[in-house]
Amino acid sequence: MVFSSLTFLFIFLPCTLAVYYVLPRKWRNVWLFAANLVFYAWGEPIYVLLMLASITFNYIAGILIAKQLPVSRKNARTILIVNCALNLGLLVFFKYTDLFLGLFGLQGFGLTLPIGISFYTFQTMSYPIDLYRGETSAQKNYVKFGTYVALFPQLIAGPIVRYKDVALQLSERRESSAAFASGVRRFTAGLCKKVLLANNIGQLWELSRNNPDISALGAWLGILAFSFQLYFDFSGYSDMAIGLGRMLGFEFLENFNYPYISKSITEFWRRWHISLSSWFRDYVYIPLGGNRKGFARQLLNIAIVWSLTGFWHGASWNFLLWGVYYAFWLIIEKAFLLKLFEKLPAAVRHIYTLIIVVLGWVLFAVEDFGALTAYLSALFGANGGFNGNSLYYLRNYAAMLIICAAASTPVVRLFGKRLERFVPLLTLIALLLCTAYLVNSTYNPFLYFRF
Amino acid sequence: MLKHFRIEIFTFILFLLLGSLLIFILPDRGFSEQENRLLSSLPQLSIESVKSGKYMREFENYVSDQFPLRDKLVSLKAVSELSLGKTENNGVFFGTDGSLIDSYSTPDSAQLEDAVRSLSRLAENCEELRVPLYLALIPGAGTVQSGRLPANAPIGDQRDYIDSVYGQINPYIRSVDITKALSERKDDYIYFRTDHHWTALGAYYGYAETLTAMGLTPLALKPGHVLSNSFFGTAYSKSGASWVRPDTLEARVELYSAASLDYNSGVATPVSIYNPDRLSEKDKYAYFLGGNSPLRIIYTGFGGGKLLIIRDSYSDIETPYFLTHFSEIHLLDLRYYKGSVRDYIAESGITEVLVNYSAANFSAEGNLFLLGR
Repeated sequence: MVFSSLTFLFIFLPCTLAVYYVLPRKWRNVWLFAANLVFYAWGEPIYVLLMLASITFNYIAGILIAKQLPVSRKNARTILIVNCALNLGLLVFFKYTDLFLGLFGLQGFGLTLPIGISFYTFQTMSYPIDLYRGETSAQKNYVKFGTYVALFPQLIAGPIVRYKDVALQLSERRESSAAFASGVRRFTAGLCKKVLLANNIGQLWELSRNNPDISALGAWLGILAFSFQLYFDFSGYSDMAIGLGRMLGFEFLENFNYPYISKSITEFWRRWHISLSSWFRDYVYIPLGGNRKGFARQLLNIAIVWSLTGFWHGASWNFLLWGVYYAFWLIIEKAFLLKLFEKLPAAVRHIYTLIIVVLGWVLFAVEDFGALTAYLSALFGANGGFNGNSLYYLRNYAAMLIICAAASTPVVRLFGKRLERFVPLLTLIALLLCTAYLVNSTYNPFLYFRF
Repeated sequence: MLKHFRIEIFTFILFLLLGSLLIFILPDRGFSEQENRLLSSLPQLSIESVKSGKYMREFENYVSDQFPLRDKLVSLKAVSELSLGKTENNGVFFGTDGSLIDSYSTPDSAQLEDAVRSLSRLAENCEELRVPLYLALIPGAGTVQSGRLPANAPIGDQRDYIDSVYGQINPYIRSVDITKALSERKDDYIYFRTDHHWTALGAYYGYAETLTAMGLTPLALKPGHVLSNSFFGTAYSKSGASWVRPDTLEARVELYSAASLDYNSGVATPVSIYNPDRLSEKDKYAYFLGGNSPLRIIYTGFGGGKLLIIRDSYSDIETPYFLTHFSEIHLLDLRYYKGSVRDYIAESGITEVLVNYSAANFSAEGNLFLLGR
């Protein structure tokens, strides 16, 4: 199930919340666990078994590691390695098998990717690793552990919540009306980002991506539209997750922090999909030696981590390319650019960052290399500067692009205090508008009846 | 502060609960006039349907189909799009003068080749049977009244498509230049503003051009007789553009009564060619001939030949003009009539065949191969 659907908003969410608050505290995790499974099974009735299996073997691994740790660190380490191999094995099998088989010219299995597997594998893996590192203790209660892994707010699109960050909340969380109200606000904001901004501006990208004779203006409009679509879709989903978490008494870490206001690529990656980059930092970059083994080794580590980060985004070579592209810029910045930047005005650094990021999205969005080259050449005027088509889309999407640009900055916060009184009214208007757009997307007049 | 939080929570919960309660409490609607289709009903729960995910899909359809104030919410979205400076919604352009113009994309060359091939087979059959064959492709408002579109609107030109068809077909076929006839009157009320069809006036010019091509003399244009002042067509439903004013539905011809037999499901039923009861429904255009049928025969009571029209709905409002020129008019719909067109022409003693289609439907029609059967 996705958050931006009428069924989630008007059936699943009110039912889950109502029962959750009617039940006595000790039954709430059981209910939440059950609700999570329904949420997941809604779109993937079969793969819910895969998730249950993943919950079970990680739960057992946790208990075994905790048992072995005081006795034999070596045994604990072996269990950890086997467990990580199992988790990564599942991820690789379901996500990358066909791509790798394709390399050898073999026919793939055509398996559907279990939804959210990239998120929940990374999430569950944090648990045995942190346990081994002594940063958290084992969860003995299967329901609590299952509730954590399958927690519906962040199940299918992040943020990647680490076990140690919510371990305490699984046992003793206190729901409050202040937290609930802030959850409502956050959820509504996220819903608006997804339904009103991302889906809307995304149409412009859809119109641009398959247009063979797109002008430079059209191509730039298209890739700007994609940049906004991806940001608002992804961060909107994280906002909804954080908001829903608060309604249920959880507090998740932030996942996005206005990435498009960054003044360097290094800063961009501190603001974009924070839970993923910090996961790679703590579980790959630092174990590889980070910056402690000399400058050359550090650059190699950056290259490894960002190739993996890119590849994590999808089983297609363009994602790897996208990761390598960022590794390149991060290395350049580390090597000399950041020092040079100290003397440059903020505007220049900001423009540099935006250009790198937006061009990066071309690599991310266009999977086929032929189409990629075509789109890049269109951006630089291969099909002329502008045409009637691009002027039409500029006119139709100008307002939307300005709204998106404004919403990518903390500008709304400036009005925060003054708007405070109107929040309930604004919430109502926002929900009504989102509902209208969601209803319209399923509005399907059969118009050719008169042929 | 606490009170403030409570109002916020209350607003949110009330909104969600109201939505969900109304979905289930309000009686389910069976048919949507606005969308002209049957709406989904609550699916049956079974292990099989849950396992395959069919139950979930049908449940989602149910929730969205039975959502309270569905039509109003669609209009709200259209208003929001308009205020964002958009010039289209759901594939309908907001034209000047409150006109709503359907989008059109030119089909690929394979469709064109198929169409030309099917027409040529029909032409060979007609030539053998010594029956003249006419082709009238009717352009839409987006082509004839392109000045009403938003600047640079991305829409295919049906004139190009019609020219390609006319340029490639078997020379036995006599093509009728409807585009020219309509373009000369492009500022008149020849298309509905809220519907994709032509008006009685537009249909008159089409009829006059067709009849002239057949070597006959068309009737003079009569003053309009208003049937309804509150017609909202399909472009209105599709776009949700609730701010436009309604169309006027007129008749421009003396409403001769004529016997008409309808062969829906193969059985002949006498039906009227004018349906005043439709004027009180949403689909007022169905006043003319009352909707689709595989085959309908009109016995006009006048003299003349027997005309076969291979039709789409653009013919409905045009057919009344043909009555006085033919003794019988046969209306055949390729979507439903699956028999051989050649046999039909031979067995019914048809004297003229007219393929009368809107270019939009003709270029999207999947059954054109049936023409050649």
